[in-house]
Parts: sequence; structure tokens; C-alpha cells
Amino acid sequence: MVSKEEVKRLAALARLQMPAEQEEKMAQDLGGILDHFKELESLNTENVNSISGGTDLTNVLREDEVSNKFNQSAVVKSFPKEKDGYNSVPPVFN
Amino acid sequence: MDLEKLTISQASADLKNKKYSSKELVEETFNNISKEDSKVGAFISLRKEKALLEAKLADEKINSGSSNSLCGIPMGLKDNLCLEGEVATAGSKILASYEAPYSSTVVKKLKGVGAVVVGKTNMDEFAMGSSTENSAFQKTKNPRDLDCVPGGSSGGSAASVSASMVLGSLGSDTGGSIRQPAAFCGVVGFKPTYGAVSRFGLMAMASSLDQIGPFAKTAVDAEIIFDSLIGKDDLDSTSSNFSNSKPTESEVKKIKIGVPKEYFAGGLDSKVEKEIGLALEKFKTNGFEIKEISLPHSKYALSCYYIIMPAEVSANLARLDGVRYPGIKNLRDKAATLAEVYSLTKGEGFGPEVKRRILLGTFVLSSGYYDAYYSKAQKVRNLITQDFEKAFNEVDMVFAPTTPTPAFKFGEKTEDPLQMYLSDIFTIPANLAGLPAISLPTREFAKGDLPVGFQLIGPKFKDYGVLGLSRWYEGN
Repeated sequence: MVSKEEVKRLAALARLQMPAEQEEKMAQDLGGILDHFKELESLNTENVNSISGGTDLTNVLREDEVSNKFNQSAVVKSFPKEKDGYNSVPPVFN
Repeated sequence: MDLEKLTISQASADLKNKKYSSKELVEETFNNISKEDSKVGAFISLRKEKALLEAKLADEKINSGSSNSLCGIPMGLKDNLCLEGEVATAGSKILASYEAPYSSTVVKKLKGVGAVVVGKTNMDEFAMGSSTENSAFQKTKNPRDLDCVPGGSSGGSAASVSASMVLGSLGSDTGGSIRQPAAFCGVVGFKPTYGAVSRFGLMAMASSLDQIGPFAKTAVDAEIIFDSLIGKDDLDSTSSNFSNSKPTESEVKKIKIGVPKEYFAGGLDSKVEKEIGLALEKFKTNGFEIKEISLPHSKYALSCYYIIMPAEVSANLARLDGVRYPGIKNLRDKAATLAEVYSLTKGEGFGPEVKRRILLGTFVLSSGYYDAYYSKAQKVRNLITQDFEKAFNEVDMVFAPTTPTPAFKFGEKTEDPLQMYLSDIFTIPANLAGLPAISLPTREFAKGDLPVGFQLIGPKFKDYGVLGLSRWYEGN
């Protein structure tokens, strides 16, 4: 079971606005999915290592060099607002 | 030319023999798209003028002796793959006006060999879904039965090949998003080994699982596309080089095939069960060694996947905050604070499934739940990976169904997300373990007869073994 309050809390954490009328259905859906996960409880994983990804590669490093791989004006074009060729962002502190 | 019967390998030979030019082939492709796509809805955007220019360049390349089999071939591209100067929506309202400022590595590679991209294909929003019903823009219909979904998330790419609107296309596969729609639409879909193909320029959904791969009418064609995609790319640190030697016919005939008993333990639709049985029989009667194997943790794969994937989704999609990408028009003027810009943009821009997965991912990563869910799932992922490692000590390749049922009807599973998730139950394990896996139609299916697909899953970087066995199957 997931409550509407829990949905509100998660939405706030994710910075995602949830319309009030969708909270009920979302709570119900999440509850159903989390119930399904209960099957994992019966599985003993005591001496099993966690793995995080599909690759066996480790420490893939490169020199930290400046490159011009991107066309700056094309990137700037995809910003919602620009000023003098820079991204114009809303103020962090008002 | 008869597009319905045309394959990439045939078209490539025809182009070299000057039976027609790439320009004529691409023109015919657009004729077919204007006839078919009003019914199917596979494409979000088309680029006819640019494609015709590219076809002309391809013709010049062919005339000067280019031998690459993709040169001059019309192809489709899933809309989460960036192509410089073209809109890339990923099926989402939040990117409806986003023009890609650069090209993905796979696009650069395709262009490098002279392939012609005719348009971008429809998909579930940010590749989240199994029916393409989660696209913010349009429905894509299954060309084999217009009342049915094409599968997803790469439904547009699968449908575009199935309806012969293009000869091949690219999709992405995080939990089955290439193989499941390929099975539903009666085409070949291949998910390569994690790391075999660079993902630079693919919009990340779940980075430890995502992989780019081809759709085609035949395994021979899928291999032709795959040939041109592979290799290490400095822009994707998870990519690597690997041995690309192809098995000979006699080596293919020695492949030992494992049949995991857990995949046949009930729950298969009767048509799927029958078709899968016949496919396996074909290997048997042709002298392949078949062995029953066990992948004991298979039943936990769905839960494991639906913890890990949303966790990565919740992190990856945080960047779509209305500050770095176009977001929702005029929304910023309504927001009083920066935090409101974020939450209003996401609230307005994302559809219900994306929101569901972001909240689910936020939940499993949140304080107090991390160990019980996310950490547990990472351990289960290890067990599933080990299951395959053990199996590959006994056999060379794993045979499995692609989906529990053939294509389902529109709206059939949209109300209950868990039912929708269950349609990926057989494809997810290969993503969790990073293995190459293909879906092949069990046989040719006439229009109206819903296709069934089966999977071949190989050890890491044995992509050419998987493709070699697939070529044998369709050639015999």
C-alpha cells in the first residue's frame, strides 16, 4: 500500500508537480508494483555481491582536454532562454 | 522494384548492378510512406529533401566503387537518437521542439557508409513502454493487424520495416524494446552486447541497460547494419572493441543450444507455445544438439528490472528541468521560483508512465528503502548474470520465446501497468546480464496472421555467433 501522502512526498523529492486528481491512481499503481517486488524477500542474497552495470570495464579514464566537438550556437539554440550566447537561467535566490 | 519483397542485401546488389539508383529507391520509399503511413503512423518526422540529397551523394559513392552494403539504403531512426539539425522528441511533449545540436555516433557511422535516413520513428515516451501507446504524439499501429499494437518502445522502427516503408531501422533496447516489437511486427530485431555499440547521442533512459540495435527483414540484413555500428567510441566509455570474426557454416552447425526450463513453465499463449515448439524442432531435426538447462533466478528478473531501471530513470530524467532543454513554451513566466520551473516543467511535460517510473525510482532510492529495494535488486542482478554464466559452461546459446503472447489490442493493458510490464518478462534477463539477444520470426506470417518470435541469447560479445545461428535458421 502506498498513501496519497507518500505520493506527494515522492513528487516533492523528484521535483515533479502531480495534479491532485492523479494522486489516487498513482498511489494505487505504485502499491501494486511494490507488492510484486515482495517476491524478492524470500530470496537469500546474504553472500551475494551487488553489481551495478552491464560492463566489465573499470576506470576508463581520459585526459581532461578542451575540445570543440559541439557547435556552440546550435547548443545555445536548444536553451529555453539565451542571453549573449549563454544560457539564461532563472535566479536561484530571489 | 517491389519494396515489399526487397531486402537490404538485394537492394545493395541492385544498386551496384545499376538496376536502379539510390535516388529512385528513396523516391519509391517516400511513395510507399505516403501510401502506408497514414494507416500505420510509424514516423514522427520525415526529411524527404535531405534524404534525396543524401541519396544523390550515395549514388556518386556507388558509381565511384563504394562497396558498403548500406550505401544508398533508406533507413528509419528511433526518435531518441540524435541527428544533427533534426527534431528529436523521444516521444515526449517536453522535447517537442528540441532540435539535436549534434549527431549520435551511430548516425555518424551510418552516414559515413552512405545510408540514407528518411525520418524519425515513433516510440513510447523516453522509451518507457511496451506498446508505443505512451507516445505523446500519435498511435502506431501494427502493420500485420491494424487493431493491434506494434509493441514498444521502438514500435515505430519495427512497424516501418514491417510495412516496407524502410529496409532497416535503428531502435534502442533497455528491457526488450527492440526484440518485443520485432516479434509483434514479424521482423528481425537485434540487441547487441552491452558495449558493442556506442550510445553517444542516444537519450539515456537506464544507462546500465540501454543498448542500440537494428531492425531488418532478415538476420542477414540485421548483420549488415550491425557491421557498420560496432566499435569503441571515446565518447561512450562503456563501449569496447571486440573480435568481429564471423563463424563459418560448419562452426554454426556445432552450436549447442540450451533450452531454459523456467521459460516454458506455463503462462505461454497457445499459439506462441506451438510456434516456439516448431522453431525448436527445426534445430533438432537438422542435427543441432539441444539441452535442457536451468536459469533458476529468471522469475525474479521482472522485479529486479523494475527496481533498477526506474532508479536510473529518476536520475537520468532529472536533467529535463526546463532550464537546459526547451521544455514547455511560456511556462517559465508562470513560475515564481527556480524550483517551480523544475516541477511545473516536469508536471506538464511528462506523461503518466514516465511520472510513474520517476516516482518509483525515487522511492527505491530514498532513505529507508534503498537497502530493501535497490541494493537487493543489484544482488539479484548478479544472481541472474551468474545463471547465464553457468549455462554457457554447458551450452553455446540459449533459445527462448520473445514474448508470452502475440501482439495485443490497443488499450488492453494501459490501465494496469504491471500487466504491461509482464510483456517484457522473457527479454529483460539479457539486458540485466548485458548479453546479445535477437528476436526472429518463427516463420513467414501472412498479413492478418499475428507473428510470433523467438530469441537466441549468446554470451557477451558473441554477437556474431547469435547472428550466424540466426542466418542459418532463416536460410534453412
